[in-house]
Amino acid sequence: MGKEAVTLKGIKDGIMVILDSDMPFGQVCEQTAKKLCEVIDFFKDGSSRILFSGRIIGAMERISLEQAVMDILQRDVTVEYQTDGPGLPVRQAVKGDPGKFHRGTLRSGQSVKSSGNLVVIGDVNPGAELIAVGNVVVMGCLRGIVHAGCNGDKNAIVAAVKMAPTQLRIADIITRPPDGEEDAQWVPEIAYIKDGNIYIDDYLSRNNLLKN
Amino acid sequence: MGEVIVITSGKGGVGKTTTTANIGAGLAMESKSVVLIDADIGLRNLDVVMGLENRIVYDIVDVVEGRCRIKQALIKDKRYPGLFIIPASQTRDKNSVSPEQMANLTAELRKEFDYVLIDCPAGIEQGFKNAIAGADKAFVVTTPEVSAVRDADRIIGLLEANGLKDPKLIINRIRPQMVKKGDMMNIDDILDILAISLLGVVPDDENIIISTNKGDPAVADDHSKAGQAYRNIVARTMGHKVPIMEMDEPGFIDRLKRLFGVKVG
Repeated sequence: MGKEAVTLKGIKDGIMVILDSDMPFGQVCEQTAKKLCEVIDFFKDGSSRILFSGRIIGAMERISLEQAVMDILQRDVTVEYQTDGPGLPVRQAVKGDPGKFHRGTLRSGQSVKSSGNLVVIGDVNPGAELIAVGNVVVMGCLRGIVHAGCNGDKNAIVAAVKMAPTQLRIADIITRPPDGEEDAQWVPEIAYIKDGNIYIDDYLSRNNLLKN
Repeated sequence: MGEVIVITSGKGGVGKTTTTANIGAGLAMESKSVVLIDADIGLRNLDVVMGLENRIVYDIVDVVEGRCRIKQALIKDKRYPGLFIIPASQTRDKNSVSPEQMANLTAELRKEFDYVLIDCPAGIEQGFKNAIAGADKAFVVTTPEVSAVRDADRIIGLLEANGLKDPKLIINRIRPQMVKKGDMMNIDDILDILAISLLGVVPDDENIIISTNKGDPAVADDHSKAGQAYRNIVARTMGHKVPIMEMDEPGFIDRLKRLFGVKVG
C-alpha cells in the first residue's frame, strides 16, 4: 500500500485526522478506527478534540465516523470537520436558480415546472407531472410522471419517499416501472443515471449513499 | 341561508345523479327544504330518476333566459313536501347557460331552501364550470375503479383551483366480497390517492337499479344496504357524526375482536 488512507497529526487539544480523498469511504473509516486505537493513550490526558479533514464527508459518513470514535474512545470528544465542499452528498444542480418548492398534493392534470431544482412536499398522483431542469425530490408518494434534468443534465437525480412513478425521465432517458407486481414494501429511493441507464436504489442503505 | 352543494365526479356513469336524488330525498325525509338542480343540459336524467319527467313544463334554460320565474320551473316531488327539482333542458346544450347565470340562480334559491344540490354533468368542460359556479361545497363521487379514481383526482384538483376547498368523497358501488378477495380497490387504497375526507361508502346494490328505474329513491327503503348508506350520508351532510357502516356481516373473529375493542377492518 503506497498511500496511507489516514494520517494523524497533533493539534491543539487533540488530533487532526486527515482522510484520503480517493479511497472508498469504508476503507478510510476502517483505517481511522485502527489508527485511533493506536493513539488511544493520547486521549487519556484530557485531549478531547478530533478534527477530520482531507475529503468531503457526507451526513451518513459523519455518523459512521462519530460512531467509530465513540466505540474506541468510550468518552465524549468534540468531533469537528474541516472540508472544502458541501457536507452533504447532494449534487449541485443548477447554478443561479434556487428552484421551486411545492407544498400539497399534485393531482391528475396538474403540472409543476422548475428552471432549477424541484421539491414537492406531498404526493404526486397519477396523471400529474413534474418537470425540472435540476433535481426532483418528492417528500411523499411519487406516482405521476417526473422529468429531472429536462435540459439534458445527466447528473440530475430523482428522490422520493415512495417511488412509484408512471414514468421516470432523467435527461433524455425514459424509463417506466416493470409491468406486473408492485413492490410490497416501500422505502425511500433515489434514481440516477449510470452508464446510460437509469438506476433506482434504496436511499437509506448506506452503501448506496456512499457511492455518490 | 341554505347550502349549495355540487355533486360531481369527472367520469360518467359512477352514480352522480342517483347520489343527488338519494341525498336530496334523504334530506327531505329529515324535513329539510331541498332543491335539486340538473346541470346536465342536453342529457337530462335527474327528473327520470326521481320519476317526475311527465311534470316538466319549464326548465333551467327557460329560467336563465327569463322565459319564466324560478318558482314556475320548480317541480314539486310527489313523495316529500320539501323537495323540488329544476330540470335540465333536453333540447339545448351546455353553452346555453353561463357560470354567472348559474351563480345567480343558486344565490336566489339558497334564500328559500335549506339545501341546493347541483347534479353536475360528466367531464370538465362548460357543464362542469357551470355546475360548480355557485357551489360552496362539493361532493365527489367515485367507484372503486382505477379510471374513476383518476378522474376524481383530476376533479378534486380543479375544484380546489376554483376555490372549492375540502371536497368530500363518496365511494359508490363497492362490493365487499370482491374487496375481501383483493379483486377490487378498497377504501384505503382510494383514500390513499385522493387524500380527502370520506363522506360515505355505498355498497353495490340491485335495489338501486330497481328503484332508479321506478323513479323511487332507495334512501327510503329500510331493507336496502345502499339505502342505509345514503341515510348515513344524509346525516353526515347535516353535520351529524355517523360511523362508516360495516359492509359485511362480521365473522366470528371480527366480532371477538370488537368485543375486546380491537379496531376491525
